This record gives sequence, C-alpha cells and structure tokens, in this order.
Amino acid sequence: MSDDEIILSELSDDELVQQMHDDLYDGLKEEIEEGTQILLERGWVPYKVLTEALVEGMRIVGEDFRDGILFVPEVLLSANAMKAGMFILRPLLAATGAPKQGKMVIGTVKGDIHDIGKNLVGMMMEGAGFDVIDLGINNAVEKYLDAIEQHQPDIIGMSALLTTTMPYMKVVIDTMKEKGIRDDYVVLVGGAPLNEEFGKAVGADAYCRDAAVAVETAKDFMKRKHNVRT
Amino acid sequence: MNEPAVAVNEHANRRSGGRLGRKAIRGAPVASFPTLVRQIPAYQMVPDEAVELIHQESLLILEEVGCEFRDDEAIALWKAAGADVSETRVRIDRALLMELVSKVPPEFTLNARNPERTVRVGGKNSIFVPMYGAPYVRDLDNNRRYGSLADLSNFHKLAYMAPALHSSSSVICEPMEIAVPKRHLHIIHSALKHSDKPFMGIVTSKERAEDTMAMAGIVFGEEFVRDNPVLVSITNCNSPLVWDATMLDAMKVYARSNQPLILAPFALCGASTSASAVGAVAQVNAEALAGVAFTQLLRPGSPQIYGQFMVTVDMKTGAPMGGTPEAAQMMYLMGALARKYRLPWRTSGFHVGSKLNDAQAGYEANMLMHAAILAGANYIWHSAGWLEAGLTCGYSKFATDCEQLIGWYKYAGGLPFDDFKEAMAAIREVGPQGHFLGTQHTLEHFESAFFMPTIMDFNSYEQWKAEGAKDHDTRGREKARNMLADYEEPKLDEGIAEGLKDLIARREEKLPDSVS
Ligand code: B1M
Repeated sequence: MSDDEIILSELSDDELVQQMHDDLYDGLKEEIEEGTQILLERGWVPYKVLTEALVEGMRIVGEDFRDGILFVPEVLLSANAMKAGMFILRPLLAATGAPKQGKMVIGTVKGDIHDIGKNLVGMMMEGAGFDVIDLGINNAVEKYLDAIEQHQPDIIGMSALLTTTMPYMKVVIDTMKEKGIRDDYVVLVGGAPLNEEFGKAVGADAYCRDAAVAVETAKDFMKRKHNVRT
Repeated sequence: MNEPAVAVNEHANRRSGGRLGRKAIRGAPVASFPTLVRQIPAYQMVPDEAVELIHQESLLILEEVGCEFRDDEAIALWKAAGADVSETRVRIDRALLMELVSKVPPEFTLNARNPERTVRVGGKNSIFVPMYGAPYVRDLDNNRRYGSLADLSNFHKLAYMAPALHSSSSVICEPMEIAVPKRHLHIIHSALKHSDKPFMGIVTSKERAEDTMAMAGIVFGEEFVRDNPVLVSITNCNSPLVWDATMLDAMKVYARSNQPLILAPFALCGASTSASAVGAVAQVNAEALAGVAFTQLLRPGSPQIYGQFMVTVDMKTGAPMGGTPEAAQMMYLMGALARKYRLPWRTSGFHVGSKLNDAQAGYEANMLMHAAILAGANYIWHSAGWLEAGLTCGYSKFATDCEQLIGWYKYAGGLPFDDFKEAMAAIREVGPQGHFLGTQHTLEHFESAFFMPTIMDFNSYEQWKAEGAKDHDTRGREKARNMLADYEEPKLDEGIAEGLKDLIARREEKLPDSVS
C-alpha cells in the first residue's frame, strides 16, 4: 500500500496508533500532527495519546537506533515529528494535570564551545517528549541560574568536552548549593572526557555517556520524582 | 672456501671492537632525522579543473555567506582592511582574500632550542609531530585512566628519543592532577625540559598564550622570539564558519610575534560540514583561508600553516571516525589546494578511532598516513600516540607510531640510486643460483637498505612462541618501557632552567587554584 492511499481519519484507533508508530519511524511531521489531532478529536485524553501513540513509537525508534538499524539523521527526523506532536499536546497535558514528561535546561559550560554532542542530547530528549531549553555554548553559572528561574525545569544538563572546562560544572553545582536550590533539580552531566567518577566528584546526580543514556536516565529520574509526589 | 683477499691493514680498519664495540654502535641512541625532504611527487587525485572548481566555491562562500569573527578587535581589523562587515559576520571578496593569503611565506624555519633539531616546514619539507589533547592515557600496564604530569613527561621523553619525530608537541596528554589555571605552565615546562625539539603553544586563553611566549623567551631570548618561529600553535575554526574569541585571542598573541599558527577547521564531516567529501573540502578551505588571511592583518608576512583535520562522523552515534577512505580522499584535495596557494600545509597522520593499538588501529593509521605522505603534507600531526579519536594517548601506540614513522620517512625520501652500480656488480659477483646475504654489497648496505622494525615481528613461529607469543600491542608497550629506561635528559643551560622555574613560581603565586 503506498502512502497516499492511507487516510488517517478512516483508520480505527488501533490502526491509527500503529500507523503513527510507523510515521514516527519515518519521521513524518505533518502526519504525526494530524494523527495526534484525530485521536484528540475522538476523545482520547492527551496523556493516552502521548504514551500510547508517541512515546511508544519513539521507544521503537530508540530500540532500532541502539541496534544500528536507524542512523542519527533519521532519528533526528523522528524526534522532530515527535516534537511536533508534543507541541499540540503540551498545553493540554498541563491543563489535564497529566504527569509531566519533564523539562530540561541544557548548555555547554563556560569556556567551551563544543556542542555537537549536546545538540544530539537535546534533540533526543525532545524525541522522548521532554521540553528542552537549549542555552547554547559558553555558559557562565548566571546563565544556568537565570534559566532555572525563568523556566523552572526538572533537569539541568551540562556538557563539557575540555578537561580545562569540565571543572566548571562543579562551580555551577556549588553555586546551586549555596543558593539552597541544588536538591530541587536533577543535575545530569556529559561529554567525552568525563566519566562516572568525575560526575560523582562534582556532585552531579548522574553522568550520561551518550544521548540514549541521557534519555533513559532523565526518564528514570522523572519516574522517581512522580513516585515521590504521588 | 674462498678466503676474501683483504690486505692486513684494511683488516685492522674493520675492527669494530668485537662484541662490546658492536653493541655500542648498535645501542647508540639514534640522532634525530633532519627535516624530511620529500623526494617523491605529490599525488593529485582529481584533475586541475576540479581543484579550481572547489577553490571558486570556497571564494563564493566567503563572499556570499561570509565567516564569523567573534571578537571586536578582529572585526575592526577586517573593517579597516575593507571587508564587508555586519556585526560579527565578515564577507571577504576574493581580491582582498587572495592578496592577504599571498603574503604568507611558502616555507619557514622552525627553531629548536638545540639548533641540530631545527626544521623547515613548507614546500618539499615535512615534519612529523606527536599528538595533542588526550584526557586519557592507555598506560604501560594497558589500563585506561586520566593522564598525569608523569605521563606527559614520559611522552615528551619518548618524543625526544624517537628519531623520526621532529617536535615534542605540547599537551600530548592532559596532566589532570594540576589545577587548570596553572596547568599550561607545567605542560610547556615539561616539553622544554624533557626534549630539545620544537614544541607547540597553548591556545586556551590569551593569558596562557602570553605565558607560553614568556617561557619561550627565557629559552630562546626575548628578542629572538619576537621575530623568529620557535613554536607552532593550533587554532581551530568552529565549523561551520565561526572563528571564536578564544582562538582569535591566541592568534593575536602568536601571529604578532611571528609565531606560526595552524589555521585548521577540525571538521566532523556530516555534522559540522555537509555529508559530501567535496562539499566539506570547499567549506573547510573557505574557513582555513579566512583564518590565514586574518593572521596577515595581524602581521603581514608572518609564517602560517594552512590546515585541516577532517574526519567523517559515524552516523550510528555521531562520533568522530578516523582512517576512512573519505578522510584520505579529502586530504588529497586539501593538499592540492595548499599547493595551489603555495601555503605550508598541515594534516594528520595516525589519528585513528580505535580504542586499542590493534588491527583496526593499524588499518586506519595506514590509510591516513599513506594519504598524508602522497598528498604532500608538511606538518604531519597526531603522528604518535593517538587513539579513540583523540581522547586517549597510548604508550604502545606511541612507540608503534614512532617506529612506523621511520618507515614513512624512508618511503617519502624516495628511492636512492647512489649504490645502483654496486648492486649491479653484486649480481655479477653472485651469478645464477647463489645468494646475496654474504656479499660485500650486502654487508655494506644491509643496515640501511631495508626498514628494520623491532616492534613488528617477523621471526619464525617457534621463536615468537618461545619469546612469549606476544601480540603487537604488548610488544609496543615493552618498547615504550625500554625506551623510557634508557632515556637521558638533554642538556639545558642552568640559568635557563632556573629562569623557567622562577617564572612558573611567580605565575603560580598569581594564578588561582580553581576555575571560577
Ligand atoms: C545531560 O547532559 C549531557 C548528557 C550527555 C552528554 C552531554 C551532556 N554532552 C555530551 N554527552 C554525551 O552524549 C553525546 C552524544 O552521544 C556525546 O557527546 P560527544 O561530544 O562526546 O560526542 C559527539 C557526538 C561527537 N564528538 C564531538 O563533537 C567532539 C569531537 C572532538 C574531535 C572535537 C571537536 C569536534 C571540536 N573541537 Co575539540 N574536539 C575534541 C573531540 C575529541 C573527541 N573524540 O571527543 C576535543 C574534546 N577537543 C580538544 C581541543 C584541544 C580543542 N577543541 C577545540 C575546538 C573544537 C572544534 C570547534 C574544532 C570542534 C567542535 C565543534 C562543535 N561545534 O562542537 C578547541 C577548544 C575550543 C573551545 N574553546 O572550546 C581546542 C582547544 C583545540 C584548539 N586548539 O583549537 C581536545 C580536548 C583537550 C583536553 N584535554 O581538554 C579533544 C579531546 C581533541 C584533541 N585530542 O585535541 C556524549 O559525550
């Protein structure tokens, strides 16, 4: 069956959800937007659309990325389609009091301009349904603090690729401690010259060796957060 | 058996002192090789028209899209030179660009603190330089851990001892235990103390670049380092098309003292360039030319190195790769462009992605170095130690690379014909069915005729087994260990040594212990 023969609105709920998984896989933004709208019109609660259609679809994408079947540019396309669906759902999720998927502020630390890895992490996080605020490169501690205040994220992500800039992560975390806000946020760090030990030493909640691990770790912390709250 | 007819006094001249004498000759530390003067033609992979096409596209990129220079002084300089500037975006027309580029000398002398190690860079002159920037080492016990000052010193010692390395680089691995604000002082000190070869500068801030120059001034004389190249520094363009403030600061310090910079985009092709080898070259060429041109605003006629580091990204993860065919092909294109502009050209040689000094590392290294050599590179960097796309420096890899460089030095040195007649005479002497192993010609030439590696193993299976059936990686580590045991520090004038220590102490007093 070729693309144009599929009319999304004519599919049953189950078929449509299946189709949306395929469309996410193929990175089809408009189709995902349309599918999301249709499910909402059929009375699905936003949280069900999110989990069963979008998150489940991205889980499949993530699995095939891990297994080397899908490649980075394809996954970014999928993440972009997911983001478009999220854009529609986000206000509705908030209004219905659905469990938050999570919000992350991420940036490369002061003195460092490496951002290829950080960008990848940001996009993968969006692909997993997170709301991502990207501060870009060369961020002094004030930038993180301002963003925390303005966006009230759940997670602070920091990236550093230089051994000369990675100690700056501690500056950010220590400042958060001084302000008494450290424990209000999950702090995740990453970048090739870091490791588990370093993450602990600077006082981060976790070190993430790659984008997929960052997503898994973030999801994990969000789950724990919800458990604590409920 | 026919006794060779040799006069008695000739016999006397041939005495080497028996076992002890021969041992002394064979064990003597090999002096460094001089600059590699290439005696083989550079290979051009594409027709002239293709090189011209890429050149034209690069010019168009700089005219139409332009390049970012994120620094006020840089912007002011570009404005004054007549470039089309809006905020930090600089559009450079081809006449201005090429006029600036043409001011760069095609060759320059890079002075070492030991004049015997002074080299030339550019034209047919090439040098091999060990790696830079590794946070991790794979150590003598094959463990992967953060680097230390002891490791860095060891690599500087190995660089000093390796005959085919022409430089000690600087931060071969990162001395992680030293506070970041003070680290650069110890990196440069180690390079100057443990080796007498040329070295590389620090670029991570203006202040650190100035400290590097001050240390060079103590060793070479303050006056001397204002005009004469004694160190080379790397400034990377942040592809696509951004020269950032940190790099521009370093350029100002070094170029104004006539110290060469490598203007080199470090491109992960597919991520920071388009996913096309020729497209990537057109972009990287534009970026490098813009950088080279900028240095000529700082100091016209200053020696510079047009450079490139181009690897493809692994689309499975986004990680940089190493010895792939495209990385090699892009080198040929960049080499052709460098020759067109008559600029000294830097590429890399042994910059593999492999985690270990294993078969993958060997294949990758060979793919890359072959291209670097045939494409006519002048500053052949990352030629020792590099593993994991630059995250790790391996002792075994370092020793292996040094050994392989002796082979590549020879390869690029061309085929000598000076003993051709004698070789022909040997054929006549032996005739059909004999062998050459005992002829006078063989005796006289065997030591230099063929590459004689010691880490690579060509023994019989039985002997290899009897010696512990060691793989190449293990033999490489043993070689590194043995070299370090034999190391003797090169002489350094006491006054200079004290001067360096004083300067470090003074600076350390002023510098903080942690980043803020
Ligand atoms: C939740 O938060 C999270 C979670 C996970 C996170 C995370 C945050 N951030 C990352 N992750 C993790 O997930 C990502 C995706 O899987 C992964 O991200 P990565 O970033 O690791 O992986 C990316 C997908 C691909 N990897 C990369 O993009 C980095 C690759 C290497 C080769 C590299 C590159 C490309 C560059 N560089 Co730079 N560079 C190197 C790098 C060596 C290496 N092999 O890593 C390294 C880091 N650089 C180095 C150096 C020296 C420098 N660089 C510099 C510049 C550059 C470029 C601009 C040329 C370019 C960056 C382009 C860009 N826009 O980012 C300079 C510094 C500039 C500055 N002020 O920051 C300069 C100083 C060189 C110079 N003299 O110009 C070395 C470090 C030296 C040291 N010991 O500290 C280096 C190891 C290479 C080397 N051997 O020289 C994970 O780490």
